Amino acid sequence: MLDGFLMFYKALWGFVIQNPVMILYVLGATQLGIVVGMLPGLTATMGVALMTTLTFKMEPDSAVLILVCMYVGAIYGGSRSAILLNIPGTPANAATAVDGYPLARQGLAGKAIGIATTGSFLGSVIGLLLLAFFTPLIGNFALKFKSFEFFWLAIFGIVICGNLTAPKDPLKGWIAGFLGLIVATIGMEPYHAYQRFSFGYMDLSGGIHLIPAMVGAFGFAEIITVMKQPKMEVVKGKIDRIFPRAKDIRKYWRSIIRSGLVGTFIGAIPGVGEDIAAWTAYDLAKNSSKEAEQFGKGSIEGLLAAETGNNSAVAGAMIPVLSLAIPGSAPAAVLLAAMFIHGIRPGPLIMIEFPEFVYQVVAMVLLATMAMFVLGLFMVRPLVKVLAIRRSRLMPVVFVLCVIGSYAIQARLFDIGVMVVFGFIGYFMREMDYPIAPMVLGIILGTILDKNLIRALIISEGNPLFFFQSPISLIIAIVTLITFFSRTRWFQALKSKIRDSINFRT
Amino acid sequence: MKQENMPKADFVVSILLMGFGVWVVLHSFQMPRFKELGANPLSVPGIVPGILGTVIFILSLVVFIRSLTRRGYRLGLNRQTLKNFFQDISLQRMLLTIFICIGYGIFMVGSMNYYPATFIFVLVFIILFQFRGSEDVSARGKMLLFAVLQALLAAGIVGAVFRYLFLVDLP
Repeated sequence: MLDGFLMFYKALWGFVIQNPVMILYVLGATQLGIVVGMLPGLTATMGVALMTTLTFKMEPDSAVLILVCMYVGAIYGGSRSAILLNIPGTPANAATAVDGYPLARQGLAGKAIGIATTGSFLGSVIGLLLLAFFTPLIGNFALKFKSFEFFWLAIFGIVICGNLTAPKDPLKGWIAGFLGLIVATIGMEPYHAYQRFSFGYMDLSGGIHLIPAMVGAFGFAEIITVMKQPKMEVVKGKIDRIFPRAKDIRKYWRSIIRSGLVGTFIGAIPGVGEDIAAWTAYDLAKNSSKEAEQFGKGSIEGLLAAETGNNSAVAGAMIPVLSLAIPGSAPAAVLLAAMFIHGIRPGPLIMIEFPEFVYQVVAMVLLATMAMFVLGLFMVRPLVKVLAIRRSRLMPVVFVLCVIGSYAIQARLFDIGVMVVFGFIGYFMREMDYPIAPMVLGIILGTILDKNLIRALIISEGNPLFFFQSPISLIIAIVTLITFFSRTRWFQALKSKIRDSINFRT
Repeated sequence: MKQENMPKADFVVSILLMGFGVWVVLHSFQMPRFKELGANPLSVPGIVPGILGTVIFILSLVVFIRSLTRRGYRLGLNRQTLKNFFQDISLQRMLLTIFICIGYGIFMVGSMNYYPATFIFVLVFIILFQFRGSEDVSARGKMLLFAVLQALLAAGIVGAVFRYLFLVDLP
């Protein structure tokens, strides 16, 4: 524990005192993140992906610091357009709009922005404390994982991500996840160096790179979606007092802590992300509030819960990134890819190989959180003008960045084609209600699944019982199967039967 | 997409996905087994994609059956619905966006210098989406001037940042 604190202190000292340029990076990247987040059509994932291409020649710690700041800033920034336009800047801010926009319509836009900023700040602080505490624990625990456990973890990631990102129809979420796993099998396989699904094309033999695929699925798909709409709303009205009153925050301290804990936990679930965290926190706050009738009409508590939930999920999403090399959300997936690009190997061995890096990331989140709080409260009025930029002027520049960003990592024109193809796939998936996040998670988990499934099959000589032999794999398998079957009709019927019989007896 | 049309979309997409699943499984079977090298039959290249293709097929089959129970097979395609579909302003905007973006990303970048390609793309994009024939000449001139200026800045700044700051050999 003390070692951890010393490493954190050393990292913070290194960033702030030894290298003051880092402060400029923090302020610049967080501000850019806020702008990216607040512009409808630019998501946190896209921002982090484009920033990865801009930072890949930098030193690893500077590059990861910039990406973390962009991530934290973008998730917070989306609250601006949610409050002022009723259009969430990123999907993570959809729950923010429910109470933020009614507050703005009551002439309290400034107050809503102040509350959202404070909620995001507190959520991030709760998240980073849990990040510092749980990452080493999970990392040490994950050292016990073998092929069977990693196989189940990959399947669990796809199933839970599909379940939560497509709550109406998890089947579509699972299909998206398994499609991602198939995409990951393109290229040279790990045991015999055979080129699968490459059809003789040299470019395909190296596989599909995550960054162009993600830039396309999130960026180009978003450009098509945004440009398709004939009309967009514009900002109206003045901004009132921004600084929140202490009594507003004190009054809802329970809701803040609960939302922070729930947000971090949801963020740590593979691939699920900040949007689900915000909705879950919002829902819990509504169910336990004394002012439930105010929710949806401009509730301060609702706004606080949503923003605390989504920003705490940012730190939560980094827990599995660092300890298991499995992303907790789509932007965290890009962050993970960027870490690999910079030679950092997150995963179960991180507490042995790079223990100081875990605390560096905690320090980065803290710096980004502080920058977000300051910039969020002081740069409201000039930034609101950004929302007035026409999308017909903004989107071509975004597409130029998507193209050059996809190309820059490996200097291959092929990656621009990958970006465009995944843009189409992403767009049609959205239209057909198939979530994109499980597909992206599938592309990442595909390598883990591929290697560990074959290794497990060889060790077990094809005996399926081996997959349930160790207590850890048995637990993950049971949880996966329960998650999978929990959405079936007969499971729901069984659950209500059990509930009825319990009620009858009592 | 409207929710009432979702069973129809599910019907079509599930058939495509089932076809894809079958194709993946068949392709996996055709992959080499490396018997001559004494490879473990459980480590052959086609085993993982084969399993995944089977899973995709089964899950898509469930979507297909569900779409049948919701009468998704009644696609209701006729001349009028097709006419309405193609006259939809959103579809036209979407196709225009795709057309310009593909023209730039796939055909222009790589076959011509990055800077003029980007300049032309940004300029054309802005003009196509902002030009209003109903506006007076001075408003149109102002719009054009700003479009040229933005296209110049976008091509110059983005190109210069990647070329000289991040040392990327531009296409």
